[in-house]
Amino acid sequence: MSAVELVGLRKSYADVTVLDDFSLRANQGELVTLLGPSGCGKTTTLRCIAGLERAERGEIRIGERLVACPERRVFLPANRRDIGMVFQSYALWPHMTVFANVAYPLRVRRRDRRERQREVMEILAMVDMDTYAQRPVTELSGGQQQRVALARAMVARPAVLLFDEPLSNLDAKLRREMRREIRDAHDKSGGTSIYVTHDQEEAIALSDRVVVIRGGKIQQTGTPKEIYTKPATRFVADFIGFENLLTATVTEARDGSTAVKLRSGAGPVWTSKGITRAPGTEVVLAARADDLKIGSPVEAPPAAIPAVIRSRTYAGGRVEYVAEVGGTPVVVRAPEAEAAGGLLDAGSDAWVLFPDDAAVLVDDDAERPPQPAGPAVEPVAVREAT
Amino acid sequence: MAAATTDLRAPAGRREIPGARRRASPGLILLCLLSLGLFVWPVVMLAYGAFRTAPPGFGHASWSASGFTATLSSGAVWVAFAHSLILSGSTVVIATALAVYLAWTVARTATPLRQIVTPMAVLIFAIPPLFYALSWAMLGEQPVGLVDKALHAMFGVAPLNIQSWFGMIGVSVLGATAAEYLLLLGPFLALDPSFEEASLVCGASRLRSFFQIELPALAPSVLGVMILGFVLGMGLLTVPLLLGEPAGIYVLPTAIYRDYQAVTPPDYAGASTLALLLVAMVLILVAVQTRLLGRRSFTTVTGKSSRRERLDIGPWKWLGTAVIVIYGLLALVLPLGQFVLGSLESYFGVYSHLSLNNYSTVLHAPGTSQAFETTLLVAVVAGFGASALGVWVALAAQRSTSRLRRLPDLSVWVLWAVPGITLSLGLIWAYLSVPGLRSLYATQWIVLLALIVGTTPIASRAVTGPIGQISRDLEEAARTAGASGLRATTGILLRLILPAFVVSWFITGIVSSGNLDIPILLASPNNQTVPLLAYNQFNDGSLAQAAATFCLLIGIVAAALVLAVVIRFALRLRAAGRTPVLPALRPPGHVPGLPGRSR
Repeated sequence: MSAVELVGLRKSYADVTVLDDFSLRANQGELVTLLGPSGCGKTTTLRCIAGLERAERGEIRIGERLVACPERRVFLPANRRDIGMVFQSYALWPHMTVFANVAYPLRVRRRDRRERQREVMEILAMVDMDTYAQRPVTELSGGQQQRVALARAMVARPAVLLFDEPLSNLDAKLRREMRREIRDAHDKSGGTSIYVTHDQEEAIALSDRVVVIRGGKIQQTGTPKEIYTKPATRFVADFIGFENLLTATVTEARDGSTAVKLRSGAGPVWTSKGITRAPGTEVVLAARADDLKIGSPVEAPPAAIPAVIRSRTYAGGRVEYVAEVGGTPVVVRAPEAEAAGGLLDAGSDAWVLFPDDAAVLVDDDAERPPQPAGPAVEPVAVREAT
Repeated sequence: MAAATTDLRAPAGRREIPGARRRASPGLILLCLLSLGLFVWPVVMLAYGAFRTAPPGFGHASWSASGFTATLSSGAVWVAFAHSLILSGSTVVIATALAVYLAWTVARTATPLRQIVTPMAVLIFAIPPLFYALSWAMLGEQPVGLVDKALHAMFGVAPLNIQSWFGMIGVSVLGATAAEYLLLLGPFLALDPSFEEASLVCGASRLRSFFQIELPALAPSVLGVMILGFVLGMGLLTVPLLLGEPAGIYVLPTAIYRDYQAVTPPDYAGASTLALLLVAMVLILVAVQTRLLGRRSFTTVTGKSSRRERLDIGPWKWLGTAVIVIYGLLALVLPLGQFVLGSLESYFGVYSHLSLNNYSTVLHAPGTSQAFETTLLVAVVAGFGASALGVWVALAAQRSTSRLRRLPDLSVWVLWAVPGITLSLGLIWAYLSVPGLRSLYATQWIVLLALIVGTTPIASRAVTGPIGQISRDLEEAARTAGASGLRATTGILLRLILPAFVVSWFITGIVSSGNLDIPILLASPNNQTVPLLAYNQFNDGSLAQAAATFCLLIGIVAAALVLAVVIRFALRLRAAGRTPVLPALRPPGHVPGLPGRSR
């Protein structure tokens, strides 16, 4: 059995605390994804599990084995933890062929030649790379390198597989393809996998369980569906792709349903999803653009909220509107065909409807750190040209 | 000294752009002619000289293979050849092992004192080999050298005779280690740390990861550095001249020098034949390297690099500290200390009555101020000339679309095949054979020209990497922004090349100022450079004065180094003031203060 358990982990670099009192359990056979923006501590967590980094405090267990516990002066180095890891840069050794790269873990484990040959070819066949066995790794494409890295991580059948943003260097189409392969590989291995990514779509599609991390703390843990439909905080909702995050006040609560009104006074909006709070409490109403409805004033349903169209964009089969509701922009995407009374023009009056249970109530974040300007991209090392 | 530019093979050609302009511009044609004249002509003349009965330009010469065959059938030649192989081979093996160890220690571990290794290596590199040979000759001088005295005091006997194989190899290793370390540090820093991590995760130990993953991945760089070291070792004149010859050990360069200088009449054909032997050796080595490595270049496969945490290697780190301290002691502290002390002694070996008399003697000697002026001139101008040529050659190779663009670059590569004194010999033949240039013989201008030619390969290596990293997009962006071709080149391209140019100028200037191989054959007594002056003082037995002369030179070089560091620091402060850079966004493993690390 090889569950992975972290208890009270703490890790800091110089004066920056990356992880503080971090606890997590991945059960045997589970694929757990650590999801968060760059610098949230997800990679550090993974590297602590791998033994590539030492935490200052806390416990790490792989199966029954205590592999790291600074308080008890326990630290098992990476090479004795029985793990397999896929690196963001793939880290394929350039002086070896595909075969030699994949055979290396078996060579280190002193498997005999014939067995080595058989197992390497078996795993290369699994990732469709068996015809490339004798190629130098430097001649492979990104996707092929990815497959070889996967094969190398799995060939020795380690108890735990670790993935450090393995798909971030691939293009979108290849990424979807490799996502399925990684999931297949995990299922075949039967072991425990921990997967780090900042791509919410990847996390949702791949995992048994998603752990959303922010600033070294767990924001929410749940199945992909739970995370996708019921984010626990404003941050998770934002990160998981809720376009609309509107400040609202609870006005009424009954039968598990809550009514809120928006800051502009519009409402009520009813939902049974998310948190329940006493009337008068300020909450955040999180809604996906696809779940809202929009239309021209002529046929407004009773609960519709008046709005003014600010802009209209064609979004491939759907039309995306930004509508202003009491001074706050609300994004709505409507199917092109459904556009009642034709397309709405910028500047025209309209209504926006929050159907019952279309929105989720979440807590506002205690503190909101300033968002870095521009997309969150990890610094890329300058390539050394020879 | 750009990182990872130690590959002796000619760089791989650029991809041809279909339909692109193929005609050579007048500038390129001029550069091609210049390169052939400056770089290829001396090598051709070297071969020519081996089969002539008199030096070119002296008339009455005829073709003859007798000098060639007589030299090659002499047993002493092959003994010298074997000696060269032994000296260079053992030096390279020991120095590479040390350099790899130091580079790894600095790049990957948390060893105390690792921060001083790079500045130390830069200093050692900046000090000319002649200085090492001189100071160790003094240190081991029996019975008055410092080390000799110390060994006597400790053991009662001094088993160390510096003028021996032991001394030659030891002193060569001290200098070679610093140079190899500087060349290897870049590749070590550039190596993706996840290579090692992947190996650890696969279950291999640290030691195993180092020998099976890190070292093989760096093999092209290490092998390139080794071959370069071997070539330079084969051409090394000063150390065998001062430490080997007195013990009767001849190597090829000292044999060439003797053939040329010490025998009357000079054996031109013999010296040329020996030089050709050296050239043949170098060509074989380059062939071996190409054969072993093909066109592989491993460093290009680094991907996104993660932050790197320095290895904690436990008590082993103290071994690293000890190695650093001992190396610093042997390569810097002792030689410098002996020099300073020696320069203050009234007579070398007499430790009482220390005074500045030697300095005043040296400073008032008629040749001194002239020697310093000449040295300063050749260092500054030769450095500038070599760097400008290097930039021009690199730009032509990388930016031109003509078929001829590789010719200047290849011509410069040819010079690697003629190390040290061999080049000086070729240059003499080359310049004496041209009527106009012959009148320059024995002037400082011929020394200057020879130093430009001699240091261009270094300059070319120092600027090629950085120029290659300047994306063509940057100039094209300037063009699309409305700048003319000239303006885009000067305002964008040359401005971006400037830092690499300055570093190259600095390195070649320092190398020129300490060079003995070229002035020893080309300079005349009334335009000698400082190294030649010191060598002559040493030969006359005025060791204390030689020490004083060299102390003055080292002082000037040190002042230049300090000035360079200060300017660099000031520029960085200014740059930092203009554009605030988050410390976290700096590339990992950046080592401040290392000149020539291409970024």
